[in-house]
Amino acid sequence: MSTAFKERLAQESAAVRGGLPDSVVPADARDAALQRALAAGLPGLREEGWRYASLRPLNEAPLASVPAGEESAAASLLPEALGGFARLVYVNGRLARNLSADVTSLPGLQPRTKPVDAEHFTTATADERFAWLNDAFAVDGAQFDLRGELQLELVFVALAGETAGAAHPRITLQLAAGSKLTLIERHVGGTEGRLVNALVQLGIGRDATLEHIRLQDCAPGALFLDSLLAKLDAGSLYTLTQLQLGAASARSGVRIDLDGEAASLDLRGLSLTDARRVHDAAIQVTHRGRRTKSEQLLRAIAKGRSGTSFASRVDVASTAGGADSQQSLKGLIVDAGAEVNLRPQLEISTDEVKASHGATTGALDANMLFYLLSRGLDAQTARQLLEWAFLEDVISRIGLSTLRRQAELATLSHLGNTAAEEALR
Amino acid sequence: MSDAMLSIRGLRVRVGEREVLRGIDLDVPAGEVHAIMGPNGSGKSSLSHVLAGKPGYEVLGGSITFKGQDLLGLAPEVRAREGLFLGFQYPVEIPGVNNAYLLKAALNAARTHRGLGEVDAFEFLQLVKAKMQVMKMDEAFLSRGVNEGFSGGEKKRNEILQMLVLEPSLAVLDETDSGLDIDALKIVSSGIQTLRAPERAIVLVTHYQRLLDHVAPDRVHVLARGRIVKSGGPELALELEKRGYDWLLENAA
Repeated sequence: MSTAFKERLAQESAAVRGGLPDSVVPADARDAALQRALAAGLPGLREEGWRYASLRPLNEAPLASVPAGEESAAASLLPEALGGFARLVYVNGRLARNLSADVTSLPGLQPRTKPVDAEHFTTATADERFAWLNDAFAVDGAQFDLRGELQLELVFVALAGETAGAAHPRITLQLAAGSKLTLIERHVGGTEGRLVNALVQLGIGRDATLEHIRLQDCAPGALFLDSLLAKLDAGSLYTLTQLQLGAASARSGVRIDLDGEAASLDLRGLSLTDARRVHDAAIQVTHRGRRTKSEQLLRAIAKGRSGTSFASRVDVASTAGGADSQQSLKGLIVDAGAEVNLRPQLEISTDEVKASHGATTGALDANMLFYLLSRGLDAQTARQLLEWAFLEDVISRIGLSTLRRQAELATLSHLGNTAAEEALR
Repeated sequence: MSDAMLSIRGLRVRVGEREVLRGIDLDVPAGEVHAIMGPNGSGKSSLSHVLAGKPGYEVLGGSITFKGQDLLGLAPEVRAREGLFLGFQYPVEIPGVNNAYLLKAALNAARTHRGLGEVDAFEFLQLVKAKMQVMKMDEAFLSRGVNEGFSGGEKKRNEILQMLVLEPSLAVLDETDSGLDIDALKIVSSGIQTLRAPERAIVLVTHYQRLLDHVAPDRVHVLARGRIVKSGGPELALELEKRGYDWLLENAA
């Protein structure tokens, strides 16, 4: 199976190689990435980090980027604009200028021509193998240096055009010291048998602040892969809210390195699956700097015969004295055929550290349910309210009210939850 | 069949392998307040839970009639809408569902069930604020999660507030007095007193006499080892306060 994949990868790459822009990924970096991807192939069923991912569609899905789509077709998929945010729209991985703000007009933003901290990110382990595919095939990307403050919304639309092909959304951002960015990253569209393979590389400079909200709400048949790599310098703060709502199969690989002293990560993740959809997130957080801090709150709700997995590993290096790490993973299994796998892991190589982790999976709390019934609420309303209560602390963290409202409605719509929608009104 | 609000005959109930109620007979007419007292483990809370329809209690025999209906045949939410209210001994915290929403949903579920229209947001707020004054509760509480981060006393006050809003026909208050300081006990008691009415019955399940100093019962029943071993007037509660429960247990085995 993997051999067939490698052959196809080599062929498709050779076919498009000449036409790929150096300005997005330099030719030598593309070559290196391709070689790594070819050597790694597809993950095997026995590879621990991939046990719960559903990659079967990759056996068929084309890998090279689809030609540019009709920008007008993308317009209908765009969410309501948010006040104060500059929006850039990428259709099948390419900037759609007619739907986007003028990049040159945005204060503090400069196009970036080289990868963020190339050395750092090319040490990617085999768990980020799809990042290499993005390197090999990306046709465009939101690649910037930021100095100052900005509110930026990136919308990636995958169109189901007639020509087969993949979309490789790409974000490369380096925040200069003291900069402040609110970044909304949305993924919409996609269709059965097509791959969306996103790569996000973030360099967060000294004392910089990044608030990052990611919403994956692709079509229910889509195959969505993403790799997020972030490096935090001293005194920086990264808050990441990640909502995985759509796609038939979604795999999220997140690697965050707390390199600088007192760098801080606050990660909240939510995954919703139903029918036979599969979500899988593999998160690796590494504390290297002294007094670094990480907090993770991950919630999954699985319905029908779907499955969600969170594997979250935290390493505290010997250099990270005074580190503080907290992980809370919770899964809610709504129907008997659904599955949630939670695997928190903690590896500590220094004495002076504060760390806690917990994981619980189960059905709705029977006492809470009975309490609501005893007040006259019908069983369906009671269940829906409790499902909402289960995940509410992820979404409530989104500070921007319009965005939070959008996230709430998208989430409730996936849950088929009318009771909570009314409760929020 | 009596014309009582609540009529229990020969009720036997099992939890797991243990028979927790072993033949209960009890009538509570409208307009009366009955106290059910007894030592720990006597079956008081089990009786409250069975009345409200909590899962996990297997009825082995007997009957419960509520306003002429077979109570055991009704789902918990239907019992509530019919006017049965259970004040929990340990009210549950539900972060993410706010108090105002729960109160309004509960009130409208009952009103709809009775063929009355739903209350609108304005009417609802007027009503709740008036009841909150009785319970000396801060309005900020409405936007908080149900019982989220409440002290023991605040939770009990919230139970009584819910009861005042829902105006049940039968209120079963399970150890509502436990964990209350003197001031909170007074507030909770006065809340219960405002609900005393000819068309309403109240059952106070309690271990101690002190709540009964504030809410005088019409009848007092002593539950021991799953049976009512003695019934009497308010003086029985005072006697229990003096003598304890031991003298009654000898007969209950």
